[in-house]
Amino acid sequence: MADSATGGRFDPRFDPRFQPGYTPGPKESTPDAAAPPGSVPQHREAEAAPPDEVRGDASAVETAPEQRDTPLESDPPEPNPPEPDPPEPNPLERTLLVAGAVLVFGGIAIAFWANSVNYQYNSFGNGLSWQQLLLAAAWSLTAPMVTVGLAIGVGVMFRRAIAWKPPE
Amino acid sequence: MRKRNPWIGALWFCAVVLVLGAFAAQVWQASFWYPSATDVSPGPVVRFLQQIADALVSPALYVGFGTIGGLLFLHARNRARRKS
Repeated sequence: MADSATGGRFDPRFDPRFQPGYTPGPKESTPDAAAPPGSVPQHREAEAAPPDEVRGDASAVETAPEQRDTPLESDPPEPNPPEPDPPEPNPLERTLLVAGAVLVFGGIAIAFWANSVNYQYNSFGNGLSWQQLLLAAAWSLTAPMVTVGLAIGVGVMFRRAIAWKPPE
Repeated sequence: MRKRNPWIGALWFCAVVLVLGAFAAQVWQASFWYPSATDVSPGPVVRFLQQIADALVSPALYVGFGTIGGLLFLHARNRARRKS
């Protein structure tokens, strides 16, 4: 290096060829005439970089390959960029599906219960009882529960249809 | 070629199954309304299916027709978006 030849009188942060007092050696050629003044050719960057002991910056060894524009053959191949994770399902959507299923199956179960009680129970002459009230409530609840449950399932499908995007 | 939305196809399938299934169940149930003197009373399986049909026919018709209406709205919206 020129540093050792000149006794360390060049600033180690910059290429010695561009500092006053530098005399090129026999093997070294002059910098490209087309290059703008002050710019360092890329193939000379590694040569121009001072040793780490002089700079006292150990991390520069690791950061140097990243700063190069053209990777060396000794550099390890860059791993493929990780594929983006599929979007997580919306937890509220799952809750909606569960609620829809509960409403549909609950409505059908209530209808079964109301049918079985209705066939066993003779209401003539007994007046209004709590069982009759419960039966009437069950009958009135069955159809809306099943309807809303089915509508929730279809609504979730509509939401997915609206949010759907064609693959690139 | 424009990619088709698979969810819209699934919705059409659900709507048609709900409406036609409800109609078929209603027609099947109506066959028990006026039994002849020689008909035997339905067994437990048929009674079970009758109860399911009782609970599902009206909701399936409502949701099936509602789904068809919603699909027509979605189709109109998509068409308006493509034109604008």
